[in-house]
Amino acid sequence: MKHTLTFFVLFLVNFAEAQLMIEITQGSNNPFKLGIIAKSESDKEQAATINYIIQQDLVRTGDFTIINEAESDAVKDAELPFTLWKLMKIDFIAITELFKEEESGLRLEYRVFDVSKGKLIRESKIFGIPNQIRQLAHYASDGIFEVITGIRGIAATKLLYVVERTENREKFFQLMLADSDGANEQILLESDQPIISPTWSRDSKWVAYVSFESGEAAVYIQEISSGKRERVLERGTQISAPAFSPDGKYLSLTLYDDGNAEIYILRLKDKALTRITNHFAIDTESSWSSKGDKLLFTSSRAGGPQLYELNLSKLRNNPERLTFEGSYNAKGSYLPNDDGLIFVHRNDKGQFQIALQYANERFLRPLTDAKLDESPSVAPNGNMIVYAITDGADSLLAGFSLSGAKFRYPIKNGKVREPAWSYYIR
Amino acid sequence: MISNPAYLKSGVFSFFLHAFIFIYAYLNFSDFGTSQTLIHAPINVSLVQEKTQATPKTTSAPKPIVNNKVLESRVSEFNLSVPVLSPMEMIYSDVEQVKEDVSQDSSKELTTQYFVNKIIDTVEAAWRKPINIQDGLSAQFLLKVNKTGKIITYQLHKSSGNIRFDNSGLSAIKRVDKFTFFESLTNEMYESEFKVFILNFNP
Repeated sequence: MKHTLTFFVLFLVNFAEAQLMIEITQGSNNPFKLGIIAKSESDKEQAATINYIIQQDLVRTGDFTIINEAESDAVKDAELPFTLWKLMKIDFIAITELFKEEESGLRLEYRVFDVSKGKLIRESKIFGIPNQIRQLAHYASDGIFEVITGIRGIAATKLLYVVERTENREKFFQLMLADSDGANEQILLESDQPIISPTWSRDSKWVAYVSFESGEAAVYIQEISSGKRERVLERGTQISAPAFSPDGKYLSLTLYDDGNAEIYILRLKDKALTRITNHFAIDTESSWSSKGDKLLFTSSRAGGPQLYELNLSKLRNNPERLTFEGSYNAKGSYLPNDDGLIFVHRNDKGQFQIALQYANERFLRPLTDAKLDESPSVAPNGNMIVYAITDGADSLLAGFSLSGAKFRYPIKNGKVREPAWSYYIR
Repeated sequence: MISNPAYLKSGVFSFFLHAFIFIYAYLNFSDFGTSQTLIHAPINVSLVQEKTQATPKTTSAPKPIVNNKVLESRVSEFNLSVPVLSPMEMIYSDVEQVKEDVSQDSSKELTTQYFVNKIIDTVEAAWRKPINIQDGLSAQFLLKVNKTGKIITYQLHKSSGNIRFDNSGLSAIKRVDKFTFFESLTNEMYESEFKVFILNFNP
């Protein structure tokens, strides 16, 4: 009787769940067509600048094309002409409006309309000061991006990178901070000795790097807002590739104490070191999974450099090899939700490319096609990657989005290396 | 040993009943909570920004929206003096057209298929497929829709394992917001088929 009852319950559950399933097989691969209309009673020039920055932010995501000026002129004076926008096959319209506040403040209001529905889908206000109009624009573009794609925007995040310059035959190094579009550069540190391996804490308030300013490699952590910094490790030997754990309490790094590169973890509160790898091969360039339970690193234990993953709760287990295609896969980092890896891959022609490998796949997908791409760093939404390229005599930064856009940052006076994309700022 | 035939009979019955329940449960719940296994050949993906161009849309649904066709043909002329319908007028004309079409195909199966196709058309128009994702992904969303066609709740029923892909489906559903043609559904059909259904994004 009991079994019969179970049988009927299972059948009832099945009937209750027998919903109609509708298969959606076709969708558009094309970017959303977006119109941005800038309005301002007070300062049309600033409003136009903001409009331009928002456009550039959104185009770089690969998810948008922006309507051209002629199309924009045709609709900007009309009062929400949804039918006209539909005819022009515009998917979304964003209207930005800049206002001057008291005490020289600024207020940027934006509204986003879904043209197909003829409906307002977001209305928001951002406050700032005149010398922060780039930041205002980045916040607005992130809001527009998020409401349309459902993904958090990264325009208001920051980049960190090292520039090597030569003046009067003197070489010097600068640790630079910039907006995600490369603008608003600030020098965080300048030294006549190399600075390498810059990296961010997950709250984007601290950075860590290796500086040779004392004549030996030392790891520093530095607070962005105050400039306050602390030397957390100096061993008299080479040190490289520090990486903050997600909770910010530890740094994983590569030490060469026994003459061989091995991964260690440094506890920041008492500077206690724990050795993580112990192999005669080189183990280096570690990065943390999003939960901090795994470390990804490059190891030459199979001959050439390949990516391995170590489960930190099972340190006695051997690291698991993750990459198998090609003889060189290095400098890996996780996508934000750990469902894939971004790394440098050397192809059969000897070209170094940035590649993607999903966690449930055993093959890689080359994403760039230059000859010498290196140091990829993933934006916090996992949608964009910044990396360093060598183009002739120039060393500069480039980027791409997984949605298909490619872009280069402006050429700087000097060689730009080792970009690191921050996490979300607020 | 003396065996009671009644015990033997109930034992056999119990065995088959358990076996049936086990197989039934296995078939129904074997994929519960597991990520999708992907078995396919290596492919190289090159990042190419596809140009925005009108792609021929292939759907099996009838295309009753005459007004849109008329309006689209006027795009090339781009004459601002042409009288155009407001969004609400377009919606109402759409509903009228659906009623007309439904009355022509009155069998239940055909009518259900007709509305399924309308839903497919609406969602596909709103869906932007992400690129540079794994092959063979599919994500299921459970939708609850009220009689006016408004999507009341939606939830991820089965993840593809790729957050960008899942998110694209979610965004499409949010963008659809309402199926305007639901007013043409009979109460019986709405209750039996379209009150709660699953959208499976399966390119």
